[in-house]
Amino acid sequence: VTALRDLPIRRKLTLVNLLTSGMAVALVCLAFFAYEIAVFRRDLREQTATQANVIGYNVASALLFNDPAAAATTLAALRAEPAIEGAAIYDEHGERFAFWDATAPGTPDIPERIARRDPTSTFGEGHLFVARPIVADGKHIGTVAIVASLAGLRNRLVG
Amino acid sequence: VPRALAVALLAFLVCLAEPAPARAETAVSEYELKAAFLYNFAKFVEWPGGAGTSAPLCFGIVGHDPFGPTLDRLLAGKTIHDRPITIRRFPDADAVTPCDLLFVSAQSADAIPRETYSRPGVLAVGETDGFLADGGAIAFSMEGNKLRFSVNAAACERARLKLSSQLLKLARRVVKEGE
Repeated sequence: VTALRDLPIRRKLTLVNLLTSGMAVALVCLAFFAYEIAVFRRDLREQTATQANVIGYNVASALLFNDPAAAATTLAALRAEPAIEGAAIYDEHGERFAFWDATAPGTPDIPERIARRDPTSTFGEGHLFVARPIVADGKHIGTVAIVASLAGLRNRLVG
Repeated sequence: VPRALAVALLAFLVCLAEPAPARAETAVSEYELKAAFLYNFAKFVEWPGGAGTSAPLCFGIVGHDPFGPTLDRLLAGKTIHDRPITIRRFPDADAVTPCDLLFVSAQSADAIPRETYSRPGVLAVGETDGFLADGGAIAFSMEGNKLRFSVNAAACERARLKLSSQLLKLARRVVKEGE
């Protein structure tokens, strides 16, 4: 503090200016990161929800006719989307009906809690979980659940 | 300590005595399943002039009726695209009146001439291998213990029925013309 007090007034002014500019830049950077994260999450949630709805529509007949193999084929179309790690179809009782997974079998731990009826999307542990109801002729016949990776966010911020 | 042992033993016996919980998926009979399939077929079929009407959709069974009360129980109060469902049973081919869906059982397949069901606006569903070759639209088949079906696309086209791609993709076989 003594060193600071003994500085010539000109240096003091420069220092204060530098400090305020630096803080402003840091704040802008912080805001930018926060914005990027928010936009990324929103986009990923919307995209994944759309995909869940599309899958739900396409898998309804397989559920009605009890054809898990056909449902798995429909789910496998998700391989075109690199962010998606896995997906599952649950029947109206919450039992798993079909499953697809981008990596080794059984890797993404699609939690049982998204087998619930209510449409939800939650972020956690580097993943996004999206669940959407499957409806046929106005009747709830099952749930589609998708797990997407948030790894793309890190790549976007760092790379 | 002996008392605790007795309690444990008792608990063990109770566990043994407890009957195994009934499986949620009690064995569904073949015709319960087929009845459900008939209902689901109708959801994925577009009948000529069927759009926008609320006239009842007629399910007919011609000849032998293997469903018994199952079909009535399953379809009671159900609608398809806001159309209620009526069920009619025809003892033989001559008794048939216009119906949207006509089911021909395996037992009656030989007795029912194809003119009975191979008509515009009629979705003919059978359960024999030869039914599609005879001009039927959909035929049931078994794959292991699973109920599956095949479709005669040419017959559907002749009957002016539009089958949804969602239904066609589940068909084990889609027969085109001349088979």
